[in-house]
Amino acid sequence: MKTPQCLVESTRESEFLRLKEYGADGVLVPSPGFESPFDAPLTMQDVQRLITAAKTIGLSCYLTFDRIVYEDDLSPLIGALKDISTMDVDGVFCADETVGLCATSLHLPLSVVYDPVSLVTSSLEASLCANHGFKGVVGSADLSFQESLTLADRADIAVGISLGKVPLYRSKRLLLRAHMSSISQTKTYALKEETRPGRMFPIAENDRETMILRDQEVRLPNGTSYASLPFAWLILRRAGMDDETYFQRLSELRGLPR
Amino acid sequence: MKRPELLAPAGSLEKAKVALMYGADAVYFGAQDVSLRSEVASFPLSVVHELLEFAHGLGKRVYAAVNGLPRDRDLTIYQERIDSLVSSGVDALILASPALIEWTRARHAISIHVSTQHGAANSIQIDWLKNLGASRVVLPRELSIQDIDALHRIVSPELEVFVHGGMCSAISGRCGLSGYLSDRDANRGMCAHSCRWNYTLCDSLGNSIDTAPFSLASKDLEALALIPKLMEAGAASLKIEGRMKSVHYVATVVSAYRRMIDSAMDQTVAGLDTLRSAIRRAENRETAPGFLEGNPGASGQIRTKSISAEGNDFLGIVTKTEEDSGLVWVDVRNKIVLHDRIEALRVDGSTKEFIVESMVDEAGEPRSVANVPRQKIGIGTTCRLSPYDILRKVNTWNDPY
Repeated sequence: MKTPQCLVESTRESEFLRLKEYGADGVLVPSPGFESPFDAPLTMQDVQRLITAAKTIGLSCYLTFDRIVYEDDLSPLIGALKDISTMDVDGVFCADETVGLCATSLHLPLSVVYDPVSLVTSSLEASLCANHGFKGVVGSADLSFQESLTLADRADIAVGISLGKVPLYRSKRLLLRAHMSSISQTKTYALKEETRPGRMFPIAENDRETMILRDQEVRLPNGTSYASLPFAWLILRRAGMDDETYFQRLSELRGLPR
Repeated sequence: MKRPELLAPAGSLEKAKVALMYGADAVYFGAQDVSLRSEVASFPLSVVHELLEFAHGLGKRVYAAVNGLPRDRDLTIYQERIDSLVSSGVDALILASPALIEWTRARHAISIHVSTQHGAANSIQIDWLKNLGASRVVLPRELSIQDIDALHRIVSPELEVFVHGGMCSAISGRCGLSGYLSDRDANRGMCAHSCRWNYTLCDSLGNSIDTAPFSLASKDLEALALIPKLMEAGAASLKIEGRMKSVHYVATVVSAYRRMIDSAMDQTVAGLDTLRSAIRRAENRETAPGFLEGNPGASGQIRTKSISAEGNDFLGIVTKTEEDSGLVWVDVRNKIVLHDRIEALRVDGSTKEFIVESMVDEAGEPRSVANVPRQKIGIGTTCRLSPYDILRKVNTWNDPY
């Protein structure tokens, strides 16, 4: 059994070396135009530069398409996939299956992993993806650790899991803008629910969507042996964490004391 | 322009029959343990047979929702349920899982509709689902009429569009709020409506940004005025949401949309205000056109605590009439008093007023008041009523909107 790849989220090449030292095997970089509301927007030139920087120090590099794809997104999506397929990327993680279906129908040389956060709940679902050109899936964040192990064990496809403050809610409604006349691009926002004092749920939006994250991190159970996990990827999500916490979590995950 | 199907919720056998009598072309129900509504609104197989007999007798259709997202341990029950439903003779299955669509198509020739829970929002997805075996796609509630029109022109599966009822604040299938906050997984039929709870917006340190409540919840969908445009856009089926709603709601909403569709087909003018007022008598939640006219922004959000409780307008439903005694038997829901003036909503959408001239209970004893819900009472009146007539208070209601 192969040891899972530990994938981290970063758009700063200046920290790539440190991420590698802390145990990252690869970086996830948002695709321009298909970012989640928590992602920093990039250009294709930025992406090319980040891929090169990652590869130079021996990190894998995957691109993310973390958005729902509507009909008028298809043309930009196909353009982006064609551009990316000429780059030295190790694969693509997508929230919408359309990305993988497009890549397959266009015969693009891209390994696509379906990561919708919520919809891959059984090995039957995961195995279907294998038959339709996907390289892997990320199990639903609602699954228990045991259910995720079962999924990985039974599915005929590589399976990953997400750790950190995973997305909880995705809406096409622009809720922050509906609430106030202007939102700050530099400020971070959170929601509080009146019966859960002290708990804060990070919320962000871009021009397309609003996303809310869990307040608490998904973490591996105590005593888990990293090397024995049956997953292809462990994705350590960064949104909702400061840099110090993120590096600490990465270090803990790989069991490398700092 | 093709006449679209009017599809109504069947939260119970009674509601299903009422929906079909009031003009629905088809009804959908949640299969037990495997759909997106609680056990209260899901059907055991024994009831399905009676519903099928009733609907097919009217030349109408019945669809079964098996639209939860199964986990590995659930797969067997989902597959057994699908086999049983197909054997029962339902006209279509509504499935959310592409894997179950493929599995079902490999075993059965039944029509398969893709649940909105899957969120098929573009032609590539819809074509893929068609190749898996789907003949119809229930579109996400985030699409505009323009989007629907564009899709209709390039995909071959039928397109089903929500026109009335509750709107998820999140994209269907992509919401974990309920599961995370209350351990009730919305993707397996247990949504706790956590989007309707009370939230406030704060900064990263937890300091409140303002005192106003933060609105996650969306206004309900109401698309009466948009029915002609949706028909032109090629919507094959117009769907009413609300398997948990009352018989009164089902009758009133179905009746209003039936009249609107028929008016559009006949190119006559339906009384929009009248139809809206009628719906508000059954439920008075705030409504908006959702995304059908574009992203609704702040106008689509509930700003104040929503009033969702049905009033006491609904007095009962006629179950049978007796030629000999002249009695009209009523299944009582709210208080009926001797000599009350009552309005009957008929299955053709018309209304009729009458006076309760006499009342007897099932033992034939005279009554002056009937105030026990589900009590059966015989009413004497000169007015000619029919089974499925909905009895309600005479409209003295003030429209608050």
